[in-house]
Amino acid sequence: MRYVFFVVVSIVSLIFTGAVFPNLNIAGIYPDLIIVSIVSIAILERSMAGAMIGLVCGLILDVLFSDAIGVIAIPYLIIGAAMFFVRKNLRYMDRFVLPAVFAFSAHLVKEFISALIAYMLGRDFSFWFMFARYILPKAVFSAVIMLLVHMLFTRIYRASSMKLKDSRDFRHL
Amino acid sequence: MVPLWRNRPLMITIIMVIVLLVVLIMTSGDNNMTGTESVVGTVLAPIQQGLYRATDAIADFFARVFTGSDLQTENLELRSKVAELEGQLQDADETKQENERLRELLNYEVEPGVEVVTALVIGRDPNHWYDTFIINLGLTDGIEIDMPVVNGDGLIGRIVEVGVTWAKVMPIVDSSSGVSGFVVRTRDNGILNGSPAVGNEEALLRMSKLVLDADLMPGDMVITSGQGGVFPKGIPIGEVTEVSQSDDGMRNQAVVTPHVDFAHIEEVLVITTVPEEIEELLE
Repeated sequence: MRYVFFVVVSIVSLIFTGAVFPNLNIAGIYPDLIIVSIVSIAILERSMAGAMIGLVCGLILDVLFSDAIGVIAIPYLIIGAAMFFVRKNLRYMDRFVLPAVFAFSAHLVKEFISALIAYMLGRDFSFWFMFARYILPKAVFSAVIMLLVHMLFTRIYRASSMKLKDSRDFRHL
Repeated sequence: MVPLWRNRPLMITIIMVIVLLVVLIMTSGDNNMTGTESVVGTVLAPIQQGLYRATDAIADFFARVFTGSDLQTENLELRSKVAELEGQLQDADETKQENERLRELLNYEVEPGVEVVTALVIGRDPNHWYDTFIINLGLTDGIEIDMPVVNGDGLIGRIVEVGVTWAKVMPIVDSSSGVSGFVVRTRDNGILNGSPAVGNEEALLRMSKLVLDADLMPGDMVITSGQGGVFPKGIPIGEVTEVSQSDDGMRNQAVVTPHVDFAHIEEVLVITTVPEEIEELLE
């Protein structure tokens, strides 16, 4: 059941990030549903599943849109792994504030990594313009959406079929 | 404390990032698609097209809700009577808008003998560091790398990657794009590059390599020069909005506002005739 959930989350996140939000947004600002899913799953799972979802979604988006493979996948993989390590060492977790803060921070970190990769690939850009125009508003939007998504995922994770069953699970990586 | 090499998640992450970095370096600047890329793109292209069209209708619906408050009040009184017709009206409105856009596309004056194909935009790069978008035509429709993409307003960009049923377009406002153009009034040549600092919404172009005595002024029209062998001569690019000297004071430079509204491109024309043949036709 958990793996079905991961596949569904990946497909829905991909559809919204690649086709729905770029066409349906507020002045070019829309949340990053992949980041939101990665962070929420990392919080609930305490596993590398979020990183794997980020890697797969990132690679598919790279194939469709990027100049080079890894441009989108690397930031998502790093965010998923970082969230796993943070969650593993965190003793306290609430249901709203920390998940939103994590989604906001994860979005900022992802954009910093993306900017670094874009710079490496020879892109010319004004970081502070991009930060004020896109990064900050999108990070806030992602944090808001995180409240809803995390609430939904928390309910789903209450189901017994979502519990860990065997040692091949991501949790034992 | 666990030694670094015993921390499996960390080691796996580091190895994966290194592998991806190697792949990134190997594939950057390479427009040749691998088999896997082509297959994945071909499978996802129809899904993207459907979703993009569906969300377009939703976006239009919200646009109408937020811009037509008076009509909305009136509609409240009639809602019970027209509810069943709303869906049909929405479809009709969408078709009408699409017809208008297609009619605008036809404004692009195609020289006799020059072949163009109409394509729909089916996806946009979700990463705002890049401006590329996907169209619903590919190898099976005769699309090739470097073919120019235009609409009724002017030059949009060029094809940079082709799959079986889809292709990737790099717009001229992308920072890695370069177009040779000249000012219609003065015939001064220059190179136009995307200006990333302003992003997609207020997309601008910077025209450089202009001679110091170039007599440009705001309002001057810029068109493609035909040099470089990618874009045929004479496609409208934009309008000069600002003229200044380069940092070294040796040349002039200008800010050009493109005619095309890059934030709202839905249909495009791909010129499938190669520039050399177009030159011959013009002669």
